Amino acid sequence: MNMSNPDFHGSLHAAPAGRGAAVEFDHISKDYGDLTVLHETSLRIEPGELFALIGPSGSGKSTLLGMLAGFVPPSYGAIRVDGTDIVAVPPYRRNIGMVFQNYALFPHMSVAENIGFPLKMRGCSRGEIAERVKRALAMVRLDSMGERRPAQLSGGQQQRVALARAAVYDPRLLLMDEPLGALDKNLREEMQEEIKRLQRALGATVIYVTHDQQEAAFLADRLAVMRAGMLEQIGTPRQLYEMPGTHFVASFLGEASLLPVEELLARDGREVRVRTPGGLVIRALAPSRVSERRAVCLRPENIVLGPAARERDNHFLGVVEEAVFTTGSLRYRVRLPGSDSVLTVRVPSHPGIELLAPGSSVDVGWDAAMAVTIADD
Amino acid sequence: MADARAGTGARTQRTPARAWSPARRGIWLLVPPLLLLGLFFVLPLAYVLIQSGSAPKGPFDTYVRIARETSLHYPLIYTFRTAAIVTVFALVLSYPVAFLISRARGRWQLVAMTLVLVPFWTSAVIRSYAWLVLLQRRGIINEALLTLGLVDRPLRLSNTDIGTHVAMVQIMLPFMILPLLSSMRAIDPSVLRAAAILGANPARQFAHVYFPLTLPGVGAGCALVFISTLGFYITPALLGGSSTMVAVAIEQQVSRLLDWPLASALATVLLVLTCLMFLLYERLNSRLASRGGA
Amino acid sequence: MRANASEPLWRIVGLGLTGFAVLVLIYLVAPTLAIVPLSLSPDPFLRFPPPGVSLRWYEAFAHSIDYQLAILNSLKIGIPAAALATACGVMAALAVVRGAVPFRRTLAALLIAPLILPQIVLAIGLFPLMAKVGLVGTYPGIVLAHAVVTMPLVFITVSAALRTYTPSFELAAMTLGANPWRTFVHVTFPMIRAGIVVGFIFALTFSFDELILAMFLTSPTTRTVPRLLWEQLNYQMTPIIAAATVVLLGATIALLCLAAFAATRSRHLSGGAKGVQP
Repeated sequence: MNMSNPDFHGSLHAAPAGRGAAVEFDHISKDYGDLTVLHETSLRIEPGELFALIGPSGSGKSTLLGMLAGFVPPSYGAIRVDGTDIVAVPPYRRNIGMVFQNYALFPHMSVAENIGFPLKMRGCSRGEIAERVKRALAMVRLDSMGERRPAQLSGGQQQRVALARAAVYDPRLLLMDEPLGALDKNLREEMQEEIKRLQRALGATVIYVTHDQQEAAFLADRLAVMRAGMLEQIGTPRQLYEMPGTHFVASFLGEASLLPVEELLARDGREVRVRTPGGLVIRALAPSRVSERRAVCLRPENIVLGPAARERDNHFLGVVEEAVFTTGSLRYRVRLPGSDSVLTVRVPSHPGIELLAPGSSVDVGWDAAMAVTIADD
Repeated sequence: MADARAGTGARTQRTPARAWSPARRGIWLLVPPLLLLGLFFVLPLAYVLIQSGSAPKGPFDTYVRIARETSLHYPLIYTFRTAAIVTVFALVLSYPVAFLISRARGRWQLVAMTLVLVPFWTSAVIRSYAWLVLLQRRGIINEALLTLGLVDRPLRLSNTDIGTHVAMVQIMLPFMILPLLSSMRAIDPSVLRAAAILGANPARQFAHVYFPLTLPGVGAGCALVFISTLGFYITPALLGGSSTMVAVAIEQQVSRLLDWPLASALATVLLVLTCLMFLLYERLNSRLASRGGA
Repeated sequence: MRANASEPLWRIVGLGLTGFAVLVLIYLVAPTLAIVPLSLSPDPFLRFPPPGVSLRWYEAFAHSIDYQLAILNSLKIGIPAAALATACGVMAALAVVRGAVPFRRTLAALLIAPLILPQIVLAIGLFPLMAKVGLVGTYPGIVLAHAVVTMPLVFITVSAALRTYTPSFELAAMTLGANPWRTFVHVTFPMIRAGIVVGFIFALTFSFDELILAMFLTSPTTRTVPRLLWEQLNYQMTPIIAAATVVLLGATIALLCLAAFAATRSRHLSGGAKGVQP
């Protein structure tokens, strides 16, 4: 029992709120023969942070999580939890809590037995197990469900049992692999609140894998967008939404319209003037080195239609190609003059507003601060 | 893009040797089963091969004799022919039964499954003995025919190819029905409904949709029956036929003639034939699977 | 196929098919049942219709030292052989289904090969080898031989049981602090118990019925029921065999009912929810 994690037993007794573990992936990579599923990646997650990994399936986010849990041995590199390399530590000695996609509740055990399982494995006395299971059930508001079997619970209830089971031994690091993927939309939103509440109560560091960008933005302190086995961008949800670094990030998080850039005309501090292949001159923000940036990214809600557009930094006369009502907003596709560029525009809907007819001309405008240049790939 | 970041940072030490991996731990579990298999299966089979070359007149003498002497190689041909006949009849008889069981509901399905499973697990010795009781000179069939006055003298039923084949097919039926049934149960009924809506009559639905979907089961059943019949001993030994099956021939070589090398050579040929049939089946099966037939 | 059930032609075809299938089922089951009247006949020779009903052959069977010894031998051989086959089969299934073993396909083929290969071939190789080390005619000899040919049955049933649920249950147990052994005891075993029990019963049934290896590897003192039946069939055919086979048939059916019961009971216990496959 050469335990690399000295807190394995210590964490059982004290329940130290606000004491999450620091996680560091140090030049970690994974390949299966010739197939590389995770390119060399380094990443640091701060104590107590709720960090989300998002990306399409096969982007390597689950591989990263599996490595941290101990299911997937990395090909290269080190993974440090509070400074100790855990690569050689088997999962059952890592003292990490994990919530699985389909909960993985043991069907042959009652809810209480499921939650008590990690305590039993840690040699807790019967009395202590009963006490802590009771507390955990109260925490997830399932006080009267202890004797039921998982199959007798609803999806949301099963999800809470899975949370309670992963948290009952006060792990300083909690992993969640698409924990809400099997729930319907309304329940999912309710559970997001629950998870946020729980994380604050526990003070644990949480690493959360999902392909749902809204969920990630709602929950996470910071998030990392993954793509094809690489980290594409890391930042707060706001940073990533408002200042996406690449086309991929821009379109993965929310909706985005992209205007290709042909030439950089001028630069003034963080603001640039660029020209599109269609000859439009656009003012936009350029967060960093501009040479790599070859497109301007616009969010649909930041574009103004109608007379008000004339007062913006950028103003054009576009043609409405498509007009649709969606719940809460009117969604337009507007073609800019002299180009193939079509913008997606979202305008809040209310009874006093007319839907513009396709084919009609309309003023389109936005401020320079609302547009950001990104790498187009 | 993929190359942009790989190799940028300094590569840290290679970790697989010390990384904990749940999968790698499975390997030691194989030690006991492989030990059992190695000592009491692989080793004896290797010994059969060695023994077949231990004839006094040289290592290939036994095989030359099998090739030359009709009495030695005919059982192989006869066995192959029997296996083919048994397989065809078993398939033709089993297909409708499996089809009906797969469509039956509730109690009828249970009854039919019991009627298939009980024979499946009944000793072949018992089932062959039953056929002997039926077919022998003073067996149930002849007694009944005589009593009813349909024949004057008992018919010769045992020790004939027909009698033995009828018994072998009956003993092999469950081995055909069960794989057919599992492939039929896997068929999504909406596929047939779709075919019907698209205008296929029942015969066409069967030929173009249903039958192709059951091909994996047909293959598995035929392979199972054919390979099992190749090594059939009990029924042919008890009921006889116009010629000897190879398993019976092998047993006779050792128990009556004490010719272990020759028996081993016949056993080797049987072993190779069985393996070939199995490989052929695997090939067909994977081709079927890769074509997306199922 | 019922789409056009209203058309008389297809209805006739359907009826014909049903009739044919029923005839095949009769052909499958009836011949074996022919032993029953024979076993109840008072005559030493077969007559049809039987002249009366008597239990004398059952009595003779009950008093036969030969049969008592053979049944005892079959148990002494079948139970340890099935136990050994179960232990090895479970380990092999765990390694092949859950582990990252190399050459998985080849390994799986090798593990089911003893069931497919004609037993006569194995017998020809095992007999001389076992004779050299003095195992022919002993219990360990036939136990090991039966274990090797029945291990595939356990391997198949347990592999199937393992495939009914995702490995995430075992991974979950590990993150919760259970080492591999405790993971097996508390999670894997309860979830594959039915597969193990069914595999064990199949192995036991197979060993009870197996003739060829028993012919080569047992002696008159260790001979099993199938070998005794076989010898009696070939040398002194009396209706006592019929009585014995009817009893054995009953025992086989009882064992199978037990296996079916074990399978349904476990399904009931786990509440039908063995986890959603991803």
